[in-house]
Amino acid sequence: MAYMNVAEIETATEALAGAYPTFCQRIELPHLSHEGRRISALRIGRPASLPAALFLGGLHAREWVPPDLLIALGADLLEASARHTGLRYGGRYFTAAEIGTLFDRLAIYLVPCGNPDGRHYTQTGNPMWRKNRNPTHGSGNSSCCGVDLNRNFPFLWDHVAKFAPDADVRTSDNPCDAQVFRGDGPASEPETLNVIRLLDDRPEIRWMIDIHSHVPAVYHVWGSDEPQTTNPAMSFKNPAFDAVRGRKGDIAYKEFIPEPDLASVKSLATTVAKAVRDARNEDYDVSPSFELYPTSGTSDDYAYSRHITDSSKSKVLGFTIECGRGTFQPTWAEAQNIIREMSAGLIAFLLAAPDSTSRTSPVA
Amino acid sequence: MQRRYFVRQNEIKIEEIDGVVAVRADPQAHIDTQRRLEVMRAPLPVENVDAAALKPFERANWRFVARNDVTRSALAAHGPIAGSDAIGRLFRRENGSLAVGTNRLTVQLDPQLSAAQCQAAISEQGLELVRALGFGKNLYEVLARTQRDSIEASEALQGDPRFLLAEPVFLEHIDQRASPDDPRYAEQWHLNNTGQGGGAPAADIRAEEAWLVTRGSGIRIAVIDNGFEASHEDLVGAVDPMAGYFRRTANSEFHLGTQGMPTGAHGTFCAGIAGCRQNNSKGVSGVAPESSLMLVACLDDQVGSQLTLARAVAYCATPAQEISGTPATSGADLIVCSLGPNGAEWDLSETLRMAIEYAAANGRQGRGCAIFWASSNGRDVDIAKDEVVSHPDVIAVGRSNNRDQEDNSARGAKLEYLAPGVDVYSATTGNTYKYGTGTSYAAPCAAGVAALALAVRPALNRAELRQLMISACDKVGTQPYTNGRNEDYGYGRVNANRAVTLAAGRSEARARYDAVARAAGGESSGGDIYRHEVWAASAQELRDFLGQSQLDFGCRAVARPQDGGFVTEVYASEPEIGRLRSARSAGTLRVTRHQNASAEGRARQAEASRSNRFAAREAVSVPRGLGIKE
Repeated sequence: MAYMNVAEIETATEALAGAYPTFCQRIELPHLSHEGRRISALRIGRPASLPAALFLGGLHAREWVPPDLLIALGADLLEASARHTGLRYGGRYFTAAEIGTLFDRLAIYLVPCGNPDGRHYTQTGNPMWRKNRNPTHGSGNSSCCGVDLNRNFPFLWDHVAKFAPDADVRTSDNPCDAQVFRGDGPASEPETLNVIRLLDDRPEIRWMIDIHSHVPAVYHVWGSDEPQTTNPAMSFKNPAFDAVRGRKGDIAYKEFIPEPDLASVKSLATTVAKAVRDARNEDYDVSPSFELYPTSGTSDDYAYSRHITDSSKSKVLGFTIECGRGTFQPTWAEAQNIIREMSAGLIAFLLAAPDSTSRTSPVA
Repeated sequence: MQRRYFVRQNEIKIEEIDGVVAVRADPQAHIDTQRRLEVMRAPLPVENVDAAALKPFERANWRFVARNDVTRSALAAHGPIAGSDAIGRLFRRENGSLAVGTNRLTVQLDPQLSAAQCQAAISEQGLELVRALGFGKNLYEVLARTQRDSIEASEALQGDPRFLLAEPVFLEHIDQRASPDDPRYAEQWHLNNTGQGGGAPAADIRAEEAWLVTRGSGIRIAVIDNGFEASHEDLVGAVDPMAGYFRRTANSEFHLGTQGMPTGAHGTFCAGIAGCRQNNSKGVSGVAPESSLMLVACLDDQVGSQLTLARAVAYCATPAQEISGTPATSGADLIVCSLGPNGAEWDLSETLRMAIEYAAANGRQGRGCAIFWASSNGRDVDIAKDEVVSHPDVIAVGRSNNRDQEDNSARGAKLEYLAPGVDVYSATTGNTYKYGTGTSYAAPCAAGVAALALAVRPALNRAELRQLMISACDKVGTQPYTNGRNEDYGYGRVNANRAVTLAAGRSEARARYDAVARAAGGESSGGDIYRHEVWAASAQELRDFLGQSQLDFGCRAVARPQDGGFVTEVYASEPEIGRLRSARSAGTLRVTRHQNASAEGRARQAEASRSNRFAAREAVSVPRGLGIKE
């Protein structure tokens, strides 16, 4: 066996939707990639109105494990619920009853590979490519090709204007930055727009995890600055703080999140890390995304910011998981170990998510 | 605004259309950028711009947008705006024709001057030399750099006696023949639906846009039917040398060539839809009017065996099946057949099944023949009753009308898509033309679209072509599409323009990958980037080291405690790490480089070009996860 190529990922979504027609629907996202590839999502769950969690994979091209992980996770959950079995990953076992309960309470959306052009390029050209393949500023192996999709979301996108000059945000407005070019505008990229559109069209989505590699760690909001729960005016919406945002360890600015939400994201992130430890005895750090450096335009902060920017949107708790350690492209044997530990972590997340929200904060 | 320029001392007046700028939309640009161009469209002054004259420019992706700060400064810089690849002013000549201005000129200098003197004069005038043109003495193609455009440059050069000629280059409509001269073309709504006959404008297969790229040259379409008028004025130029027929004898011997071929209106009509010639001043146009038609007649009285049909299918894929020694390159690229009972059960014989699978797997020298078959006619007939079109290797095509609605053809899970097949206009026997209705005519229309896509990218294999055709479909009708399809429309109605665009986009992408691979001497070019662990005594020191560097920290920059200090990941080339080391002013910085996996190792792990494990024909067709189900 080996990692999936992009054609296989797309066909795998079709095959799952075909094999489990009532429990799994394939959704063709509206924007083709720059090279014309179709990007698809899967909805897994009962055909009922239920809150949902969205898992994203493959936004960064060279991170090969997450797309394979999401297809494997979807396949496991579909097979286990169809056959009424439990699921075992190393030392962590989920009973058939737990899997059944899971789908009584929520549905799952998967976008296994959000950046197929990039993945294809890492599998045929430069294996360390991170961005998409937007040809506006360059092509081929020129570092000027492409946009970092996880800097392109419309959240504090203009890092030059929105952060302190010395905040050292890991974002670039230089198209030739091979890693973190933010794009020519917020949500300028079709791959970014697909995620936004899915969140817009499916307001039942209440949790979003963007799965990357590698650290390993589970991050929760915020990535713009340290989270704080006391001063709602100290917020990304407030331009008065544009000159001081993003400094580490200062008190001039920290990003506001209500205490129940912070408790909820911490508890869910810890749940993932614990299940991973149970499955394989691997230690994943749990922390806010703001760790060594602030970030702008990321998917997790964007997801959670939506309901603050526009009160008609539902609240989406945002997470980023960096799975695996040591390499973006481990041997397939090690990739399988990561898929197992993360499958356990993500299923534990799905089991805990509905309780976590209802206990700590009413769903908006 | 009135402008003027000079061609060999003759003053020529030309009117600049004020208020608009012509930009050529880049079809490769981001879809939203393209949409922005649509939003920026400016109204054109109708009194001096003829809409019909604009149409060819529109077809060639030119858009006319308002003059604003962005477009004005782009014009001044002679550079395109986002989403476009060319920009210019719009002019109307005295004869009424339209032209887009450029900053390009053809200049001819005094024949007494040496080449060096010419080049000096060119650069003195602020012009940039593009190339010498060999068909005239001291004749050059140049770009105006300091002037507003080539017209202003031409006017300025009028005062320089060294320049005998300074003719501005305009982009004009030099007939691309996108709108064919075939006299009955206007009746072919399926190719260009202008609303004729009560149709919905644009409810067509978007053929004209596709023809700007290709008309199917180099692709051989096999049409299997009862008989053909191969001498028809609009088909005779299309007939492929491998055309032939199965004789009406006990052993149904195959005859190569059209001499004595049974004639038939049905086959003639089908062949005409796929490949009637274009711009021959005769009749109509096919969907792929430069493709080659391998007409294969069998069962001429409509009673015959599936054995003969099977032999016909196998012959199309590999002509050596009937005529030994024929090279495999003479086989068809696509097969289309519109034979079969209507609204009735049709059992697939084992022999025909084997022939279909043989052609699908072995045609096109292993890339596989796509096989199009007309689904049954009849309201709400279950397509599954027809085992032939239900075969997984057969693409079942239903019919749509001139309002993009489904119309009385078989429905069900196996329906692939629709193509126009209601009151469509094509060739018939007796060197004449007529309207016809039937799924029979939808199938060759879809095959013609596939021929256009293949002409752009012949390397597509059968599965890739099939997926591309599906992706290209328009989701027409009012019924919802679930997982991209529904029972009455399949994946929608075929779209030639999108099929060609998808094929072209992918081939361009492939070319880029190939260029990368070549530049790297076959080895992946990313081999010079390594994973490094960078260590410093404290997190603050680490942060200071890395602070202003444009280095890649993996996915998230994270400092982990290690050996009494802190370490982070950096993905960088050796020169970049060198810069990092030299920028350090004090403190200890340790860098550990990790080896990359070999190119072979990576290739083993991600076989980007291997067959698709989840395609229906593979053993593993539904993915499974790694959890133990217990």
